[in-house]
Amino acid sequence: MGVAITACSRALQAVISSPAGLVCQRIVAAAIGGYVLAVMASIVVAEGLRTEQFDAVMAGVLLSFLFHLGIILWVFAVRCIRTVWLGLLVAMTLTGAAIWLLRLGVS
Amino acid sequence: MRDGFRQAMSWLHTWVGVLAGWVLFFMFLTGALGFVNAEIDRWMKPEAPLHVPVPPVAEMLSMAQQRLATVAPDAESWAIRFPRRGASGDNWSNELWIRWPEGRESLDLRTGQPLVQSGDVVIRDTAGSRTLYRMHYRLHYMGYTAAVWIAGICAMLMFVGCVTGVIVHKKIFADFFTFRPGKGQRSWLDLHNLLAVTALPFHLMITYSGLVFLAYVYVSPIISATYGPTPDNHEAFKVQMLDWSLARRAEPWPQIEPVGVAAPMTSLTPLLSEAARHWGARPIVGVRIQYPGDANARVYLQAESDSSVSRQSQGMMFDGVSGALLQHDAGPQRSVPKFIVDLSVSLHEGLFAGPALRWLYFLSSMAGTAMIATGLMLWTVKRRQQVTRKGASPALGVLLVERFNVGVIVGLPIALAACFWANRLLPLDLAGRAAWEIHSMFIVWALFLLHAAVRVPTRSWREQCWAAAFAYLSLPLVNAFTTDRHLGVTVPQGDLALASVDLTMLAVGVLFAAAAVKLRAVESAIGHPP
Repeated sequence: MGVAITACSRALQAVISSPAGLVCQRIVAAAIGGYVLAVMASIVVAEGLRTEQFDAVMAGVLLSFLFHLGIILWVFAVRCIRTVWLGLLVAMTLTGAAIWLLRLGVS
Repeated sequence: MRDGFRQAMSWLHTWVGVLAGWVLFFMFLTGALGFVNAEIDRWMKPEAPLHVPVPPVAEMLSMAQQRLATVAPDAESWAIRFPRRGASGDNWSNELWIRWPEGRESLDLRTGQPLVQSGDVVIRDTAGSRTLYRMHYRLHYMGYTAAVWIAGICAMLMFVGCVTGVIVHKKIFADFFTFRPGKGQRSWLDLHNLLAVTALPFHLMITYSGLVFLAYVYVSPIISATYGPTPDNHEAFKVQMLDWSLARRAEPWPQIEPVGVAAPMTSLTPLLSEAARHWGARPIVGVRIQYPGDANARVYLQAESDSSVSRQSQGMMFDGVSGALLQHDAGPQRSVPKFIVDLSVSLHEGLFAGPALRWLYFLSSMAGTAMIATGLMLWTVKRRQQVTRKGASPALGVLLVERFNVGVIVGLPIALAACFWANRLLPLDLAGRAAWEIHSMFIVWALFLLHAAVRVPTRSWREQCWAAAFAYLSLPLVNAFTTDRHLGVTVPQGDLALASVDLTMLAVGVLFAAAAVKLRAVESAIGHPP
């Protein structure tokens, strides 16, 4: 049983670190990771700007596509796939914390 | 490191292009039709009158009011929209629209009667250009949400493609002046660069503004997080985002309620002179009447400086019974984000533009379409050459893209021509005629995709180019045999808007014929051994 699991995980490891697997990882990181991070960053803008709500949200929405664009380019420019995932994780943690702090400040 | 970066961006540019190329080709080509939709719409309704001089606003207003009183006497509100004027001041649409909550009609400028009928002739049931150009984001044969998301993802890929394309270019300015014809892959690259750089501001603008236009769909989680998750919350944001028109907006006008007592309406003509006193020559683009026939009726006039790209509009509110001016709004103070949204939407639609600028829009979209096509060509030509050099047989992917390219790049234009043919040739009493115009388009497209799939690309390129040349060159003839709105009438009568459609068909036909003739010479450029 344990041997089977080890074999499976090794096979999986081989698939995702094959050239095609690495490209797939980047595509997922850019498309899904990039989208989520761009939306989170936009929420920081929308909640952080001290103007009327509509204007702040609109500013966030307008920037979201530029954020996503920048993240996509970054994901494909970085050499090591680990840096990509680590970078996304750190950025999401930071923006998540920023959203949390902003909401804390409001209430 | 710098070279590594450029290489990565080049890789991204290539694959983004191959992935989204065909859908983007479809979006750019059908979207281009939107900029000339007034002209195409008139072409598709040959029973409608030739160019009609636009009567004075007062005359149109009373026509519209009469028709509304007949067709929607009990409606809660009436809206009237006058023919659009370009920056040059000339009217380029002949449409006088009336709208009430339950319906809308376009009125004949000569009679004030609805334009489903012109004299004794019933206007044919046509999909019109509206269905055609709406395909550039609505696609067809699928639900709204799915279509809009496909279009959005492709638009985002286009955005990535534009920016990586600029990054990849070391000498973007020098390349602009470089064209080496008859050199195979180099020529395709030069042409791709030329088309891309010439219209680069347009490509970036149309792509970003397209994303902004439907942003309330694409990044709706932002709205959920800030406005709230319910459909009402989202609607609230959408209304604030897209409503630029004072005549349609409740704010900044005070909320009013009907009192339920009937009262005769004031005459609307004096209100026009009142407006002219404040606004001068600025055209009144729309009128809204709230609670017509009620003692608490209100009349709103809207002036929009059509020459301004960002739709700064002004409004006036009158008492609907006494005709007294109650409030004058000099236009909203807009924030920077709202200004950017208004600007994006306005630039994307190009409605502010007069005929000349709209044709420039059309040509820029065509340049974009051709840029996408040359990019797709480049991908196959490069791979074909590598394969030929090695003497190996090409991969399945290359064969597939090669063949699909023909069916899309030439097949889709043929299919569009088929839609115009169908408009002229389908029986007038056919049930669901408008839908069949569009079905014809997709049936023809499917046939040409099939043709491209089974024929050798060298052959199918030439054959389809000839088919396209025939389809477009003969359209003005078909038009002449089936209607009296052909070039022999439109040119002498000076109806250039209508004539321009036939003339464009001829030009497109000539281009395809030239391409077919040239293809023999550039066959090596496509990458096949002769």
